[in-house]
Amino acid sequence: MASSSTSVVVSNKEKENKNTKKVTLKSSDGESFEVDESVAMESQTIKHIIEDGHYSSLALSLSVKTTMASSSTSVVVSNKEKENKNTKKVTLKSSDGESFEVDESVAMESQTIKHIIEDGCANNEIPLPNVTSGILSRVIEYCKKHKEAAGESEPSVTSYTSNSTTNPLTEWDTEFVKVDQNTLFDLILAANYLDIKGLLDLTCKTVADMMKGKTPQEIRETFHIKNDYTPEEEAEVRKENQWAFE
Amino acid sequence: MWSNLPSDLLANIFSLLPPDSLARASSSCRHWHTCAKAYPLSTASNNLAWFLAMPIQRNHTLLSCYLHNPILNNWHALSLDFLPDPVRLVGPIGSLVLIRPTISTFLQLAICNPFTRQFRHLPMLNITRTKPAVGVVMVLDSTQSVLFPCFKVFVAGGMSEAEAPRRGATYEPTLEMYDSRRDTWQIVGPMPVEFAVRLTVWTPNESVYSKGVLYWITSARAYSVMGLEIGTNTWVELNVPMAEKLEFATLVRRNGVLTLVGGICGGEACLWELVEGYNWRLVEKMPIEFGIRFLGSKTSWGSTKCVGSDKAIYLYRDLRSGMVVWREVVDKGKWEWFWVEGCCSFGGKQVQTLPIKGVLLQPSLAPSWIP
Repeated sequence: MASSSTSVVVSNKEKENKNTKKVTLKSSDGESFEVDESVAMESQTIKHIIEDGHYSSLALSLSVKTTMASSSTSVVVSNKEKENKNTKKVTLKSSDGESFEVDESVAMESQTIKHIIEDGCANNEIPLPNVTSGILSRVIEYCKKHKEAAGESEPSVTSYTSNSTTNPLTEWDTEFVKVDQNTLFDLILAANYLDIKGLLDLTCKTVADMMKGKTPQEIRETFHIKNDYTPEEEAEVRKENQWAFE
Repeated sequence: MWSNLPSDLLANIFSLLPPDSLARASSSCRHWHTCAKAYPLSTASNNLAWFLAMPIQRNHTLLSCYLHNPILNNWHALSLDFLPDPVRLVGPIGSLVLIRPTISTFLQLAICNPFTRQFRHLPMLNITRTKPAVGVVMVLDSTQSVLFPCFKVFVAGGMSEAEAPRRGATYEPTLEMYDSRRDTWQIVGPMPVEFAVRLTVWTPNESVYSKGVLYWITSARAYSVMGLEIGTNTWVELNVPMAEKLEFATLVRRNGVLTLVGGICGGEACLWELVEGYNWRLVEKMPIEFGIRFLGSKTSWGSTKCVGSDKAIYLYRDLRSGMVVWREVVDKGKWEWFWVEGCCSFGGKQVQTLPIKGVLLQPSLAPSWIP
């Protein structure tokens, strides 16, 4: 899009579309971007130009270099443009009856949902009887975040196992799984049922990390597992893998 | 709650655990124990190979072998009392170990998993022979490789028993192959006598399989490499760089490529890769500080041994001396050198300076189907 060192030319194109008033922004190297006026007005600079009416047939050239807030003006336009285009939505319904409207592309992070949609069985709502609303909202949050990230760079970024030092999602993922055990447990089941590989890998790895380096007793305490061995049986089992206890 | 987690999901979590953590987790309750044993998902991609040191003791049944944990950098002792006979290590087969009972001079092979304490003899060869070369080829079948290991074992050369009192033993110029899927040996065909002689006399080390060819290196100077192209049953011989100057030379496989690790007399340890047209290309030299530490008071590389898996190369001597490791660090996407302290004491007792043969193994706690 427009780089930070270009100048911005604004012209009005009212005639095209009665419902959504559009403006055209032209970068210094001659590329034109037609956007909704409301979107363009995210930029205070452009907003003032439009409101002051100084733009009709005369192209008003703004040298971005001379203003301080240059770099922020170009970014806003692109995000909103993406949102307004092609947003087909689906409704997901949790087991406790709550409905969630999401972009179809986000919902399709779930292979299960993807197949339902592709098979033409989606109709209005996709019922998910195995997922409660609390968990579903978290899952949607995960899918949205990962879909966004995939849209901004190569698709491989959403793979959990990619190089963690360069993957910007790693930090977000780490925070995402800082939840109580019940939620973590439910997230694993949901990720499995909905077939979302990234989320399944993330949650399973979180649990595996909680197990690493612990003695059996510590594991039982962490995961609230009942020891259903008799002392003799437990000794037998330990003997099987004696080496790991030394 | 967690005890109700479906077995396949629990198994998925277990496949992310290193073997020591898995061993402890599986002891926590019945359900987890059953799951750890029943669902051995292939852990090769998640976990590092472990260095297993088998002491070399003549005619004594081995009591224990020693394991190095690459993550926590500590040693474990693993009991080998399940082995019925004294054995020598031949090589790894994924998570199994190929061994040779030493009670017989004629080659007999067996496989074992030191973690699950499974042991099984392979059937007898069609042609009895002593001291042949043994090579292993894993048949790549990632979904089944742990539970149902698919592999082939090639035996080449060796000396056959005398047929008549006067004749004396002769070199056996035949190649036999064992297929784990059929559990039988079959004679593949003849082989050139000069290769049979070389492979027998020089007691070749562990074989390396790369790009359709099974390679062995001779055990002494002047080193040369022999290769068997599996598909066509043809043999090749390759020269080795600085063959006259190397004090030790071993073949390993690094990222699928045949690699030669060698120690130059009066110089450094180097690694060469086999590139197009059977040429060798120097890829790495061991940093001097590691070389000095490794050699210690010794002035030659002579007693150095080496093993590799695709992602790591270990240079070692005996159990108490330290090891030098060159390994891929996954997070950084590059290979780095590490020093590993030897195993000096165990459970409060001093460990003897035992000569060892090392192998890099993918630990598996789940019993494989060994017929």
